[in-house]
Amino acid sequence: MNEDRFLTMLRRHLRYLPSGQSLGMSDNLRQLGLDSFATIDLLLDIEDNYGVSLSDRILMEGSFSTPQALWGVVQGLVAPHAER
Amino acid sequence: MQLAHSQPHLISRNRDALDIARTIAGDIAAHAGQTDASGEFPSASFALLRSTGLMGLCVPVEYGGFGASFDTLHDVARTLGAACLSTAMVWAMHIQQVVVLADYGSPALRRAVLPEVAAGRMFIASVTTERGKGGHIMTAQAPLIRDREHIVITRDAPVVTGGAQAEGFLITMRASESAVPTDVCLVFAHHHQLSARTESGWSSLGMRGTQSVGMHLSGSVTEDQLLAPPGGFAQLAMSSLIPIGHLAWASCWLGAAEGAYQSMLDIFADPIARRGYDLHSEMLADRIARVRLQIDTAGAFIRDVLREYNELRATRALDDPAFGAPGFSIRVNEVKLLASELLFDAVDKLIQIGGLRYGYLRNDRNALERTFRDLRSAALMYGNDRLLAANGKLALVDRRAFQDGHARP
Repeated sequence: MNEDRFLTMLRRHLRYLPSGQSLGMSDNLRQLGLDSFATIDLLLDIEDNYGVSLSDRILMEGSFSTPQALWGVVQGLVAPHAER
Repeated sequence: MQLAHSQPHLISRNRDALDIARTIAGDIAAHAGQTDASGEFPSASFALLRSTGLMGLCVPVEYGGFGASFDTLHDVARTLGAACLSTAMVWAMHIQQVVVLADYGSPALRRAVLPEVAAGRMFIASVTTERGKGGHIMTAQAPLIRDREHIVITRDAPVVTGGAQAEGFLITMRASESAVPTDVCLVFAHHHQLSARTESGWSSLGMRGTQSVGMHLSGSVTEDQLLAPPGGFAQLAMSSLIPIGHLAWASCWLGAAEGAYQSMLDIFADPIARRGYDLHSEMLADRIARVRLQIDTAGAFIRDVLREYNELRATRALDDPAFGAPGFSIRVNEVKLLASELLFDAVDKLIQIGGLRYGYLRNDRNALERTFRDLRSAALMYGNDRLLAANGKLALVDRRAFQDGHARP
């Protein structure tokens, strides 16, 4: 599980994050432009990239608040698959 | 909202409000033609709404309002919509602002504003449009600027409905100079706190009385005039501003179409006026049946989502994530989409039924041509194109939409 790859994918959805600025794991994603529609695009992107299916409930559980929170969710979903 | 069934005094207040609306509807309807012809704000109709307390329909009783249920809001909006859609829509937008203030205003703000609303002295206009972003409410450009204990507002708005008549404004602003455009906050300003420059020039196909004006607002307010809930503007919008807006507007449009339908039926009930129509014609029967189907469908769907919204509000706190569930957002948007499309189409069909004399032409028996022009605005305000795009996206993640009734978290 590559954190850099995850952050690279994530920052494509953050329209207010300047291209030269680094993305911290505890940054507020909403402040960086992750509104409700950007969140949906990101959810679909995560599913494509990691081959997982996310529950729609995840949209309402604060999982998209920070890179840290979202990374935790993605790791939790991907790890059991990797072991198979 | 209120559990009106078990509390007789609430039933009576709700019934009183609807009785008042029905009583003044005749006078409002009598002014509607002149309002449309002149394109002037319906001041006489608003004087009635102010003096009868209907401006405070949704102000809680503790602040002197009717404290009416949203079911009553629906019925009053229908009644006013049938009388004069310009008046009804300006009123509905005011009620929307009032509900948001009652839901999310600070205690000091509620105490200062809501009794004034209930007394008919405070009409609140909504300031959400901005050059370069149109009516999209989830973003804002002009920032709030903090200057010691004051918050400074400088704001251009190309379209403010009723802006020249309002005593108060609920304004979307960017939260600060360093905030991103999606970091929106709402701020209430009294008219006397602002210097307002107004540019009129509203000359429209329909809704001619709404007198939407361009405004430049500047002034300063205090911290307690900010509506800054912990869940942010998005939660405020999804739990209060948007559902109330869509439900109230759709109810006004429903009333307008119901009124148009009724006016045609009145002509068909009059043996003299109906000469020239063949009431035995199968084609007429087919057309009337289709109009009736559209109006009944719109009414049923509005009330179904209203029931869902009432249930959410009765069982959840306003900061509950359930208000942001994709399934609920979709249905709230569908209320606006369905009502704006079906009801305009129904009135279009009524004009076909009425023909030239009692359909297309201005006449002294009905006002189908005015209602047709008025309802044409429904798909444009808070545009359907954007709502459809939003619903399409939301639908992709509402993955269990029909598995347990409506998607409920």
